[in-house]
Amino acid sequence: MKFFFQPEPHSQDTIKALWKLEKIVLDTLNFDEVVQRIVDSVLVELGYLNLGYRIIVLILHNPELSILKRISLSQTPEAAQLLATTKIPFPQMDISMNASNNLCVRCFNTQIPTYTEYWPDILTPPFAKEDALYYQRLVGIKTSMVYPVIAKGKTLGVLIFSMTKPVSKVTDEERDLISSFTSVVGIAVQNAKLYSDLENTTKALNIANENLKIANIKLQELDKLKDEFVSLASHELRAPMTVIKGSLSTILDGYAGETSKEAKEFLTAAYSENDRLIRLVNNLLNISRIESGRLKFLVTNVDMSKLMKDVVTNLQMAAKEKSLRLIIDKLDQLPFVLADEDKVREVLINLIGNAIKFTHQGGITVSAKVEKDMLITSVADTGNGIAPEDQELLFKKFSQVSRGTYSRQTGGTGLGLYISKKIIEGLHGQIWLTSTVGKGTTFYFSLPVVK
Amino acid sequence: MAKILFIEDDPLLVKIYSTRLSQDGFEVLSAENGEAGLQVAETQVPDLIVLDIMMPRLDGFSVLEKLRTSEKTKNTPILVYSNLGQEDEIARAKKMGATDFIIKANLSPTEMIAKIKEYLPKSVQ
Repeated sequence: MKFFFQPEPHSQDTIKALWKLEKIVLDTLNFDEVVQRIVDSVLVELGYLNLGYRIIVLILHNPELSILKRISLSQTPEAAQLLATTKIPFPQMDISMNASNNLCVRCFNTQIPTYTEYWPDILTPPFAKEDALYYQRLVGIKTSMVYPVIAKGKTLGVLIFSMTKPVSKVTDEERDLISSFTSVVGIAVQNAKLYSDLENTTKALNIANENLKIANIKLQELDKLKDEFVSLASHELRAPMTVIKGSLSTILDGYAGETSKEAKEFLTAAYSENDRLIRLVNNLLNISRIESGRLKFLVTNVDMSKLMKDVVTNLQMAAKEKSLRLIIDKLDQLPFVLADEDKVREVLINLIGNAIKFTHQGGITVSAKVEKDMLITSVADTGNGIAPEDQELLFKKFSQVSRGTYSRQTGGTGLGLYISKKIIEGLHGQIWLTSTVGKGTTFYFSLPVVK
Repeated sequence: MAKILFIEDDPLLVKIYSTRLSQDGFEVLSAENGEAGLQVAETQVPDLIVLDIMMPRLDGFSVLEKLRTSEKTKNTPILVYSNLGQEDEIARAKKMGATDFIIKANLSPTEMIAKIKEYLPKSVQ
């Protein structure tokens, strides 16, 4: 007889209900949607079983705020009626974790399912006792079962099942069903949380990405500004050096009247020191472009023999100052090379300038020959030579070899060879050296011949 | 006598070249800014123009553009002569019709004058 008035859920139906719930909640990934679906489908499935369930509420723990927060509420007439009446809107019906008398908090902390027939147990706080009792009478709820929502041993919140029958009419099988539902809900909440965390992370990543892009653009602008500044600064540095160079050479070349031999010596020194400054500025300009990845080449057909003559003429003064012989070895008819004339000029100036700097007697011989498709230019000096262990350091940045024969007593930034290597390699050539300690060093670089 | 026009705002540089070139038998004209340079180029029709870039009133690029569109100077050799000299600037000047781009500090006056002689039209050499 009992069966008629209080139908018990048939085990096959309960399994089906459980399966449906699982499918619904696992098919959905959006957190807000999942939590709503959970309470609705739990109620629907329970409703089919006609067990007198009216309101399902999902409450989740918010550890940052240390509260239990009502997340979703089943969409039933009783729930709607309740919402229309309560003094506090549903999303704000938070329970402080300090409210240890509240059954939701207690259930959350102990992980033990519990129930009440007295609504202030679950509604106070936030509601006053009288209000809670008034609401309970209004919607006609007799019992509310409170179950912990657990995933991987961690309590995420609680689920409240409210029904129109007294707790004495709740069967063991029903409790098992609610318990099973709650487990599924735990997994679903966990998944949805993970997913929304992932989504939030993705969003945060996208924002970070966007910020990086903006920072990158700003950096590029800064880089451009820096480049413009370096260009302008080097212009300003080279301007007075040009006038010094022009004035000194005009005097030395005899266009400004007679100059004594002694005065000429000083003027020659001033001239070659000024030239050294110009080379330094040029190297700094190049370094700044190499470092910002902005070293560009203006490739044309370059007459190497003419370029060699130009540079040798240019540096004659510096060689003369140290009483060194600077000559071009007899050249065959040289083919043109594919190169950036100004850049190759700088390489030649660097190599010959170095040779002058590190040679104390004898001289420097510049030469060139064709080998296969390359023109190989060489700068040979009669300096002290470079020990093999120092040779590999030469082309590194700031690497003026500091021990042995190439000692730091000679000035310079140690940038020249590094820049030369970058330039020659950028022009599809190679740069290398042979050296014998005590006899001298020869630097070579190759450049592609115009076909 | 070949006429060389220096459009250059640094009077010291102009003095250096006018001293040397006039002793070598050239006539040296000069203008200390872009606008004046254009005017001298139009009225005096030099055989070769040495053109600075950073100048008051009108910069060298604008002057170059105008010189190349003028009937009188469209074929005149123009040596852009500046201490700027990033690849972009060199490429820009050459694209606009500069005969050559010379970085001032890199050449001594002797070398610069050799360049001028090299680019001077055969008829006046």
